[in-house]
Amino acid sequence: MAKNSKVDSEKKIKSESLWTISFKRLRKSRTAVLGIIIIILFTLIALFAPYIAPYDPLEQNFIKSFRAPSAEHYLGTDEFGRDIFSRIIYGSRISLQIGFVAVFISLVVGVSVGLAAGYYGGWIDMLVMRVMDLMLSFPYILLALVIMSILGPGIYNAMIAIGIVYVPQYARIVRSSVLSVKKKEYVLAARALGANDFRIILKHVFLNSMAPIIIQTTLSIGRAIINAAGLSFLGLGAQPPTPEWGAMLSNGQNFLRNAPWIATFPGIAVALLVLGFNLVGDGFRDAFDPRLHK
Amino acid sequence: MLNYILRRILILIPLLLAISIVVFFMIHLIPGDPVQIMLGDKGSEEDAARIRAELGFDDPLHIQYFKFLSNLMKGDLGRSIRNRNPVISEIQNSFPATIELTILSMVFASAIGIMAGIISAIKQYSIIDNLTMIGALLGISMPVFWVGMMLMLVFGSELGWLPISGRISRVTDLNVITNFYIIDSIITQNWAALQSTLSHLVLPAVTLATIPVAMIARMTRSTTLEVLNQDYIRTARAKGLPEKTVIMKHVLKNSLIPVVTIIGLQFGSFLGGAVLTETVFARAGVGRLLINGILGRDFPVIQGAVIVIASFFVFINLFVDILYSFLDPRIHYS
Repeated sequence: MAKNSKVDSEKKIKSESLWTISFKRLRKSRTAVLGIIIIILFTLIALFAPYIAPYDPLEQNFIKSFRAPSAEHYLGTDEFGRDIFSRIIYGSRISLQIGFVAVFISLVVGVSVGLAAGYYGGWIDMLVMRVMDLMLSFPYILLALVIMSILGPGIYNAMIAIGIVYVPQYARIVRSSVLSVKKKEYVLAARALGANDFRIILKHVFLNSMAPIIIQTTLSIGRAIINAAGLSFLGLGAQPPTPEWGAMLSNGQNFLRNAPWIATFPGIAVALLVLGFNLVGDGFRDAFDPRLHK
Repeated sequence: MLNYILRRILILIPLLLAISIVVFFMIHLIPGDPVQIMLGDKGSEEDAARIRAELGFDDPLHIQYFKFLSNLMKGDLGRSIRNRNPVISEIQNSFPATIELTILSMVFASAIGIMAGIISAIKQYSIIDNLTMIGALLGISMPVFWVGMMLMLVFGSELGWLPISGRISRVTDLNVITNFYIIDSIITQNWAALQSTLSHLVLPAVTLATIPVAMIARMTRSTTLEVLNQDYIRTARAKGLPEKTVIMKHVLKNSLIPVVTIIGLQFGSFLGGAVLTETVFARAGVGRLLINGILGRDFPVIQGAVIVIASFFVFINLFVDILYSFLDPRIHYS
């Protein structure tokens, strides 16, 4: 009996960190779980594309051009007789890659810049944040277009351009959380105990800004995918015959009246994948919001 | 207040200068010889020499910048490398089309977004609320240009209700004065032209509004919910005010203040989205001009279009900031 009560009280005092609570909340959110399922599904499709796709995405067969969706070609064929279903499957590789690489670039650059600006302050802060303000004074797509016109068209340049565009957001998030943490007693204590700058930044400052960074990252991947599709649509990103969704849409517009399936399905693919990231992003935002915790 | 406005306007000067520096240096950041890139394979030695002289590439960099800036002040943005037209006249021809599109789209997005957001908040967790929020989530997940194509497919090709490209029907005569076709057709009392212009604007404006309408609806819903939980709303209800008065007088006035900022911030996404929308609907706007410039590596055109769009965006932000300080008396700027 006494043993039992001891176990009970141990259970009661088991502490839960904000992280544990947040992830529990995320698991409970049906929409966030749906988002995670969508993302996992697309990732699997991308990984196993050669095994799933019924046709070679680049194989041309003029006899079969402009076929409407059928049992043979689930989503129809384009003007070169290429199977659209297979092209969309391979396209998921490119879109996911762009999303992750672009956001990785903005994450690394934005976080380092934000940490440096917030932690060292002074002229570094001044200079960095003015540059960030300047970047934010351009609408996102315009800034991406400016960078693209310098770098020239191409899928890797599109990744870089989109990556750079999202840098200021990370820099601002990280900088403001550095500023709020910097003067806290526990940072002073850590310094008194002999912790160096690197350790303080990593252990106290960076971990404290994790929540907004995670939210920002999930939402940015979705936006990066849409923007990359936009750049390819404008003819600046992926070049033909690459099976990229935006480029497929641009091509499909030429045949909108007679073969609407060419432009319809790649758009649905973009929307679904981006929806997945948006659902998870929203889920994270609710999960990390302490005001919503009961 | 006046002090605040003046200070905000003064901040504009360094910002606009910075934008001009970025735009100026764009051309020098291109890897390789910009003149060769602009000319492609077709250019002869004389062409290269002429462009180099025209762009003043033989001067030192700081002299080039000051020349660029002083020309900019005079409204001289150089000539297009492709068709030799002055860039400023290309912009004068295309910018009104973009403004018409963005403003109409913004009005549409604000009206629908605010209405949907308020209804959603008042009927929280109802079917309407859920449907609106799902719609809003889809709105920010779909590529704008794809939405445009689907609208074209349904309302243009299938139903044949609306025109799908251009600014005005080819058979309609319009005496162009300001290049704002809506204004021109009203001044000249040309109602057929007005109808044609507006019908050409419907699909692009709806397309361009998809993302902003979703953002505005989400923002309005959350701010309205916040206000609905305030004590003064309970007081208003407790003293027996009809629900309609509570919503119109007490809730809306307070919940719409942050929405104004969101609408202002969305203006960037309107201008950015205009690039894609104009491409889909083949509208001769400044976005289309920019894309053609980039595809044709026509740097004077790119520089001109970027400067105009970015400066316009900066001015809109200033306007929103000032408007905000009028709307919210709680904010004191010192």
